[in-house]
Amino acid sequence: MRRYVLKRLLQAPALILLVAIINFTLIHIAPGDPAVYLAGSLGQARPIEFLENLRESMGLNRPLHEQLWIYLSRVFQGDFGYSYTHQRPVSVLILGRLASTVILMGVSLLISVVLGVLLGVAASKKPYSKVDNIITSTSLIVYSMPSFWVGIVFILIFAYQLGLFPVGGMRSMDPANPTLDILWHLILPATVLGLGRLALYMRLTRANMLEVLRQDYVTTAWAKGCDETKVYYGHALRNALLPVVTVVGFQFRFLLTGSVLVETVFSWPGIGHLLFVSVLERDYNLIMAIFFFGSAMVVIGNLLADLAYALLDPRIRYR
Amino acid sequence: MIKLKIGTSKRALLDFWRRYRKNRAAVVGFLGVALALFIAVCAHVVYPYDPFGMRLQEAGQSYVTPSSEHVMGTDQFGRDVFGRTLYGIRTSLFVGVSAALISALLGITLGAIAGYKGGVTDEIIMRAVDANLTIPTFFLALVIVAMFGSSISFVALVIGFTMWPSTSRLIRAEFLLFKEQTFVESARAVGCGDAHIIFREILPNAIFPAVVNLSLQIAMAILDEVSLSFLGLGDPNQISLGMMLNEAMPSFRRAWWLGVFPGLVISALVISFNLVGDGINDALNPHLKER
Amino acid sequence: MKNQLVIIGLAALVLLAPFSHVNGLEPLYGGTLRVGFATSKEMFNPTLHYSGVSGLFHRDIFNGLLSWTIDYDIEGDLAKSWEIRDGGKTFAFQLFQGVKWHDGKPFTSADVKWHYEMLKELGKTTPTPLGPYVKDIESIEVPDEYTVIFKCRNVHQLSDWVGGYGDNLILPKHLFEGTDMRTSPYNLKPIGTGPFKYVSHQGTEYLRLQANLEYFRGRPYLDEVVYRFYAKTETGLIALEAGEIDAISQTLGIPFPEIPRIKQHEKITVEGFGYDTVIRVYFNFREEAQKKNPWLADINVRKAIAHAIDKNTILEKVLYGITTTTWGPFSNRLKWAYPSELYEMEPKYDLKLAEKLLDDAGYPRKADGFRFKAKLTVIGSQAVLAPVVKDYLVKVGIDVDLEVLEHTTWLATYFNAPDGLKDIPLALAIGGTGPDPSKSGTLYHSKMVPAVGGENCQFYNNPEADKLYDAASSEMDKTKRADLYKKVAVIVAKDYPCVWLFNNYKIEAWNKDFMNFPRRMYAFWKKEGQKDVWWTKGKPLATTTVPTTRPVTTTSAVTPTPPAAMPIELIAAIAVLVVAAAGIALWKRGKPPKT
Repeated sequence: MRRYVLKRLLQAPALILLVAIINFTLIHIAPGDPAVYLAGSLGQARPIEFLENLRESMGLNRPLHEQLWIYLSRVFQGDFGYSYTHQRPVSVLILGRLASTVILMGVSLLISVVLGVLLGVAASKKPYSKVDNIITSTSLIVYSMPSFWVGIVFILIFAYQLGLFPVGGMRSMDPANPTLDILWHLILPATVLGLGRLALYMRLTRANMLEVLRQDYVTTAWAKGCDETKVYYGHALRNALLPVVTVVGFQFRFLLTGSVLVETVFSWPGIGHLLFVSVLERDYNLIMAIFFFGSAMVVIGNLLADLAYALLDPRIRYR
Repeated sequence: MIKLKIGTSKRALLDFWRRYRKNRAAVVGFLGVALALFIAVCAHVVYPYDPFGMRLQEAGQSYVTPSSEHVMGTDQFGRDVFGRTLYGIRTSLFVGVSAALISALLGITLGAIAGYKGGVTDEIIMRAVDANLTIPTFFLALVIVAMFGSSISFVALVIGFTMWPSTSRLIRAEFLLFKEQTFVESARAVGCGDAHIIFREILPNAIFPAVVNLSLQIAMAILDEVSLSFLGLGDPNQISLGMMLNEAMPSFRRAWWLGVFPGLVISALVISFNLVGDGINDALNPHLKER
Repeated sequence: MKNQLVIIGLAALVLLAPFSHVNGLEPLYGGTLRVGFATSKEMFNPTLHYSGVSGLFHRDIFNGLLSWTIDYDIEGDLAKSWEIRDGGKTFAFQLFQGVKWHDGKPFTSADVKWHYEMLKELGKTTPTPLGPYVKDIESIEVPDEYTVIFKCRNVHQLSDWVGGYGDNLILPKHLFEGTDMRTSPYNLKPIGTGPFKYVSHQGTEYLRLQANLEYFRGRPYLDEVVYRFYAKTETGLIALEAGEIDAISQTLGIPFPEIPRIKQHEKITVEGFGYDTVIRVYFNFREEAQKKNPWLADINVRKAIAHAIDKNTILEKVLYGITTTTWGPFSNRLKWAYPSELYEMEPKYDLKLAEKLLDDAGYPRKADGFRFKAKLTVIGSQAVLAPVVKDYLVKVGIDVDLEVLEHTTWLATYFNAPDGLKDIPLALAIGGTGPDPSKSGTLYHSKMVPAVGGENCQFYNNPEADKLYDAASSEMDKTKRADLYKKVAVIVAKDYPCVWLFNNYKIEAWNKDFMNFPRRMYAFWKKEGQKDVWWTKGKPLATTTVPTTRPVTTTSAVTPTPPAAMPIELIAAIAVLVVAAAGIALWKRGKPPKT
């Protein structure tokens, strides 16, 4: 167990470093001269000596491997450069928005998992019954819908027609209760993001529940006359839940992906939308930093899931 | 667990089809996919008019509500939504299938090599897989397409490139199990080369997970393409369902048909491929169904 | 007696007060204006960051020396009067007295001197639009606290001093001097001289401003202005109709298809305006482009393309009449310099003529129906027009291959790159001619190529036009300048270097409860921002204090109008989906094999 944990802990930073190198290489292969983009983003043509000065101050004249080394050492110190289009240090920019995305991802994950598991359990009670079929089919249908389309429809129905929720954004101006206000703004985007992957957890739970319920010890428990609920939620669910935990970790990247689309539709001020804007504006420092943070989040998510699985599954402990 | 060498006998295929047919949902999916393929290939036959041409010069052609003449209405330029949807299916399918095939090609090859060779090669390929699974791949695709161009073939290539790891893991797992089997030993004893063993002996048996996965990957690829064009990173010379949704957004309150139909069609496409993928999975592994 | 008069006077005021704001005759004080805008930058220093969006609120907080009027004449902002001496090399400004910064310190000529010297220094590492002019300043003298005298090496026009995009707005010397401006806290808590003071902001989502009661030209009518960020035009409009905001600024606009409906709306209204930037399709005159696309060199082909695009239909059906067509190297909004002949010279839509011109020029339709292929690169902000222009060209037989690049990327790839448009024959983009016709020289003068900071990325070359542009830039007399520009406009137009389409447009929408909201000119240009906007439900007497925390419930919610025909057909579609789902569910997934 210790070896396992150690191995995973060492792998994580290696992966993150690899990602950083890949990011850097990719972005510097792209066509176009960053200095011209920078001048372009400020809207006016600039004479050649000016571009030279700019290249110097951005460090673009050094050979590629030197730039990489500089970049990596700065990242290690937490310096992600300066965003010329936003005129702020990149780390400040991202950290300001990171929390919003994390909240969105977290709440939608909660919705996904909780609803998914509940539905999965309900479906597993009587497999192939009408209830099961409805749950399975509906969640598959929702899983197949493009999240941004669902988002648009939700805004039209719940925000506009019914007026139950705000149209977008994260905060109102003078909220009576700031926390509740954010939650109120959060509900629609988190639901849309959460519905997208709900089917996954539902099916996993259902399959696992069915698998577990076949086991001998469950039959024994029933034969002994144990209370049905206890059997379900006590024994079966706990065992069925293990794979769900692992899967959750791997879902981080899809959550991040979904957040780009959902954040755009709902004007949610997170890093997904920031990435999109920064790609269009060729703000290299920012792009690379968002990539880095995104990947770091996913690696950490995987690591946590792995560790949780290791903790929960007694079989691994004795590996 | 002993893996038996399965021959692709006619009997086996019929068995498979029999089991598949029992699953009504899968059949529905199959019909959906068949219909989509038919439309993709024959769009210009089904809808012989020009889906690109605008009709601004004529009065009263813009924003026509769904009627007998225009089943799905028209957009602000007078273009018929039904026709554009059909051509959009063609684009989505082209990208979806190409991307899935590219992913399958890469995934199978790399997975096979990793599983069979083991050792350093395996480690390298698996690290690449891990790395790829770590990066939020949609982000990656977004960045690449925005920077290098958004022509339709390139988009398919990029999406395919982001999808290969899952296939390769499946194939690798199969290969790990297979390579210890006796028939492989005997082939090696006879003197068959590695390539022959990989592609002629093991692969035909190991390929099923990839086949199952193919349909699901097509579904994912379609969603990816739609998302990219919705964000404006599609090919402006093609008709894409995602781009239609993007164009529909400003007009959505005035002309709901512009956003609803393409969205429904996308959902239908993705559902169909998902159902087929599930159906294949269930039909191949009947022992997983119980009670 | 005096007391009685006072009482009578007050009584009269009280009695008459309710009548004084009938039909909005008399501006009223008070109220909070909530404006929707589009921005994503958290930076309130107009020198370091400016864009079409930030100009909106920068003009609330700051002032410049001069500014433009709605007819593109020049008026004073912080400058009371000015003198041009030495044939355009010396500019002397007299400043208003009694102007204070928002923190109470007095504004003096020292601030102006520091500001322009700062720009000069900054121009070495960071580009600013005033850069070229500021570089040219030899000395800045301040003989007293309210006089500034600029001495330049070369001749300049007065418009050069107005022209900046933000860097012409004066910053406080006492807060920035000696610090690194890039990391100054005053970039997030700006202090200016303008009619509104910064109060607070929330990331990039909200910006709250408060009336500056001591503004030197009198306090603004509103008590507060709050800017609220919306990522999309659709969500902004939904918010406006729901009463969450009171107005939508020109930086956000509303979606085109909604314009006809909002124009008929009871409580809100919309207006568009065209300004001095021109949307145009332009031809590439670079050698490599002409080699690959020899048809570019033939003026009749260019003429044919001009006649193949139906501007009026596009204006009516795609742009809903929110702007005007224009023709010539600078916008017809610059009335004082625009020649009337150009109105006749503007080509009319004539498909037959276009076809004939192309046939005669030696480009008949081939077997596939097309005459030749042409790549058209489009800047993101004109993506709306891209498929429309392509469609017209396809109809006349040109096989157009579209490329759409996002605004900044397009500028960086083509507009500002040393090789300009490269070998691409056609481009659809804007030509920022600016509020003074001299700016069109940077677009059409053969020497103003991107490499030297010009904007002639199509490499157009016309020696006659060059001569006239040169003469006009050193001409100080306004009438003579007008003549020169009129001449050059006609000469350039006759050459068909572009198919000029429309004046670039902005859309403004607002709740009818607020008067004077639309600026009707590009946000950068209009001085004093929202100063003249007033609320019809305010009070006739000005309060001496501005309430600091005000619950934002001042505007009555506008009853939302339901979207068109959504009920029946949409419900039908959703019903179909639900039925399909139920169908799948009810069809059993097959019986499991018996164990």
